[in-house]
Amino acid sequence: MRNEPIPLPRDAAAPARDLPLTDSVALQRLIAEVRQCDASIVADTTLYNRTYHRHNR
Amino acid sequence: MPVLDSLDPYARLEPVESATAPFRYFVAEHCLDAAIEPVLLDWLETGAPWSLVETDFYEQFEFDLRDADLPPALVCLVDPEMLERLRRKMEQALGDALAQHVQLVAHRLNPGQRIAIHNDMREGGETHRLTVQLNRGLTDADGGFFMLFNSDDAGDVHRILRPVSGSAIGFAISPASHHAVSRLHGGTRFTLVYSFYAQHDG
Repeated sequence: MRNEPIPLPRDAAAPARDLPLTDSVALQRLIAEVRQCDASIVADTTLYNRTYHRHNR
Repeated sequence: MPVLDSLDPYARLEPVESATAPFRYFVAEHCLDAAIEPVLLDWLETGAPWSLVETDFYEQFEFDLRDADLPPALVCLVDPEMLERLRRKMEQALGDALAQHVQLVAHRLNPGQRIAIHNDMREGGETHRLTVQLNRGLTDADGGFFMLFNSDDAGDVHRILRPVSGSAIGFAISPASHHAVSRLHGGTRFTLVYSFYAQHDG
């Protein structure tokens, strides 16, 4: 995990389509929700090269 | 094309903003025809042939609309002329030439489900995506946010978009197109996912 500040749409004029997260606890919860679960292979960049289920027709 | 306009569920689809970093994408709002949206939602909730798909990085219900027995009012969603029109809109929005082949899959997330960070990159696979949000009105407490990232680090958040029904995100798939959907805590989150393929010379 990086230590740099997380860039967020903090502008008060941000459009309603954006979630203007200023609550770092809520942000960290969202981040935790979308992490890849298998930390042991996180160094494998192909881990992210995924798409949704292939539909064979 | 005035004749097709009356049948085109995406006649109003126009990007309200575009970006080139961290990957090329655009956002659209109110892009689905107002008469089609409630009919589609009703059918997705009561008549659609969902199949649960579970992998190590997501779990959701899916089906291919091209194989479904669509109600007459929804046949326009897979109409070849409409898909061709949609393909041209994607070309215009993202600046890439796309092949004629278009896929359309519906996704459904129930509470507890999420899609972990990934980039959709697959060698020889689809190259462009259009995802259209459909729901009965999700609150922030319901979750299901579309998250965009600056890198493959889930902590490196670029932007978090609310799943506003009728809104859409189009993007060019690349090694940098990292995105995810946060866990849904309430309601039901539907998405129509159109996939496109870059046009290759020769």
